[in-house]
Amino acid sequence: MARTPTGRTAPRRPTTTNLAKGRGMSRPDRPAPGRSSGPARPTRSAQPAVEAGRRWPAALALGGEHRSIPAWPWIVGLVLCLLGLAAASYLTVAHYVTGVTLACPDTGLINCEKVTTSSYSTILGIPVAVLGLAFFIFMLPLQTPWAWRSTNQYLRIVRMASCVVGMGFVLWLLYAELIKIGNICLYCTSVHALTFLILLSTAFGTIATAPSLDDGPEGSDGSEGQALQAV
Amino acid sequence: MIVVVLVVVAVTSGGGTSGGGSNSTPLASASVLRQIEGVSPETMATQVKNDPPLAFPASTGNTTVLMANGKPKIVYIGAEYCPYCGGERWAMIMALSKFGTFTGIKQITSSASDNPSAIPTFSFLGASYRSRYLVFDPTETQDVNRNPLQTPTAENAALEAKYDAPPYTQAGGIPFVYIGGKWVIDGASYDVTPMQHLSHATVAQAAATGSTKYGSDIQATAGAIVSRLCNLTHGQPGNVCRSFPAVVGK
Repeated sequence: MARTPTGRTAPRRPTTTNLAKGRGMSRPDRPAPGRSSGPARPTRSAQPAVEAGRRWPAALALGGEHRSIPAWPWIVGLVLCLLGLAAASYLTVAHYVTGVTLACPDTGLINCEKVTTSSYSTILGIPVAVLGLAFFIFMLPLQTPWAWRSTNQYLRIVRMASCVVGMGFVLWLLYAELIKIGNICLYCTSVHALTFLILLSTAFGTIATAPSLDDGPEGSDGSEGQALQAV
Repeated sequence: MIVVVLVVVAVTSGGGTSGGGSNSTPLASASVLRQIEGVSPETMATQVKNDPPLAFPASTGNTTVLMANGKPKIVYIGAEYCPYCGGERWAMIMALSKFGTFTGIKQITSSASDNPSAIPTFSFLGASYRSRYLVFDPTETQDVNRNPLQTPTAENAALEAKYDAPPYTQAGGIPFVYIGGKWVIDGASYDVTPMQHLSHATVAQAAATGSTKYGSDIQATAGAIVSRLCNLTHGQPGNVCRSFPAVVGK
């Protein structure tokens, strides 16, 4: 009879981190205390880059600026990454600790041991569980509020591309489980599902947090930048 | 008249063996069986002591022997697709042939889409076993393509439900072999991976000579089974069991 894995409790959710309202508040030309805080305003030092060409602001292109964004992309992303880390960690430990059972399941599709000890459980000698763990470790900093607030286009591309690559790998593993091995592992399936959810949240989050020219130092017509100069 | 007789013979010989089964599945090669069954008890005893298999049949803790028709009963539940069942059958045939005679064993290859794949092996479907000392009750639940074949009897199903699970076995699965109520085998006793895509003749020669690791593993696994069968039969037959004065690998 196939053995089903035992349940696990979800890891503790991360506490809400301090949401910086803006950067550069220590500069002497910043608005005086008491002024209502709002979206981060770039400092005077950013202006020459803007004046160099009224295209995509250089400071923003280099990712030096942070801005206010919806909270859900990093909240969802962090939670999913931490859950994925927990599941992948368990699978990694199980890969090295669990003894091999040379038996076929007499009933049922679920057989975690058979999946995690099959020839498909390693790639170039590296356990798939370790690769999954590496994926979530790599993705975790990319899902932080600071990373999401960043307008660095390379960071955003890497984050999205990593999710796509991860999902492609998941599809291959699903093929190996269902077609080649003929069994599935519930823990592996949970990691696969989390990877898919991270892909979705990252995709929609990337759209929702896409920087626009309004995030630039002068706004749409430069009037706000001129107002700062006057302060 | 001769034509009529030939037609009748052809029809009746192609009508299937006892217990049902595919007409296209060939019977096991006589030379292959001869090689397996020709391994001496002394060779098995030496092998199981010098190079024991990965796993020995585990004790159930029962002291009462499972009997049928006044003889200890060996229950086997497996499937034709299962590669681990495929490996274990070699050792089982080698061991049981010392206590009785098989007829009607079919020659098959386990599923090519499983992992390990394409293990050359046999099927107990439709086979019969005659012995003065033991009763062998096999069930092949699925064919190579995982289609249903045989259903275990209620008694055997109950044994599997109880003993093919912790604490008797590690995980539960097939092959499940219940040796007279006192020992249980859950899964293959040795690594069958090197046997993938080999021919029956190749494996039979290796099993007869012990010239490969899997060949010596088959001999050792058979020796472990024989030592337990000798315990059940109180040392009979003597020419076999004198090589196994005690159960090996408790």
